[in-house]
Amino acid sequence: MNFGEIKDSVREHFGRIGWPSVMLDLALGSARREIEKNSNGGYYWMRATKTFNSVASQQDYSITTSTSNGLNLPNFKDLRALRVKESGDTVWTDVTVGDVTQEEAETMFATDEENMPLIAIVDNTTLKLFPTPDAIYNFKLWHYEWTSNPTTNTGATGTDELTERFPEALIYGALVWGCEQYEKSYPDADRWAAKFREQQSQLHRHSLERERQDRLTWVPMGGAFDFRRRTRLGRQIWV
Amino acid sequence: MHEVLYKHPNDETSYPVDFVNDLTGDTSISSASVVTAVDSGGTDASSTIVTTPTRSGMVLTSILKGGTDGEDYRVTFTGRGTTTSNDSTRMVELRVRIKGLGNI
Repeated sequence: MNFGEIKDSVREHFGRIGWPSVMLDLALGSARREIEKNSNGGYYWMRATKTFNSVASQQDYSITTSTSNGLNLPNFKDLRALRVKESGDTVWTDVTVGDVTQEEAETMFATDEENMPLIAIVDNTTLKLFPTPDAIYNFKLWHYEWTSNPTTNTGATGTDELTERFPEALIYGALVWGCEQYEKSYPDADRWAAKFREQQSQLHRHSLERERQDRLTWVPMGGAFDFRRRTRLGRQIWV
Repeated sequence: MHEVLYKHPNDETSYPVDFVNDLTGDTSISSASVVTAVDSGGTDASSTIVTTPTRSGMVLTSILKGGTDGEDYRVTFTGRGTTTSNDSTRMVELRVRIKGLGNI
């Protein structure tokens, strides 16, 4: 379905001309946020990558803005992985994310230590690298981003993965919002909420299946102090 | 509360807006009165959706035409009083559909 067809489907429930489109847009925006908030990290359509360079002696990088060499990812949701390599090198090395807290990381490295980063911490909207980079390094960030509903009803910008494959999730989510916030009909809201949960369960199952297919971190590391995975494409994985 | 209209892309419907109750200090609207249209993404669609308006006393009339199937347009009629130079606006939501959606 394109976004216009989804809007028409929701309108049918509230009287075709009875519900202002501004309210409808708010309801569909709420539905998408609810879907993505319940995604345990992120769904596959929220995946994105970003390459950036570190700056010598700079430990902190804003994730959401471009200030002071920031990453400028205003819709950043969560980190998936981070890779680093020296400029001119051709092999990426894993930077550990999510396993070490900032409190622990600060006890592992001297405050003035500078080298190729081994650990990255997301502190609110700041990416902190440990140890502090001593030079320009190339980074590749794998992450999830919050998405927005299409900006138009029709055409190439009127669809995306969620509207194409799981339009019912958006419709039911918008109906929950509409029944609660606009019509104040709580029994109806509960009824649509049950169907909305059903759609979210389907989304979870489908997304988990896709995550399993490319979940690289199930492959063991090469060995002690070796941050590269033990396998390469085309070789047998062994533990 | 604005009005909602459904139309076929081929329809060319004359739509008059009377500002007599909105611009009480005026007896006519000036040539500064305009009619504009934007699509659901906020992009200006005036040239494809509305014609240059005509004026008669306090009534501003434009023909609503064209449009892409499935698209919603917000058409804004802005009347400016000749005497007071006050502006008044009326909005129409124009939904263009080829497939019949049944009775409203």
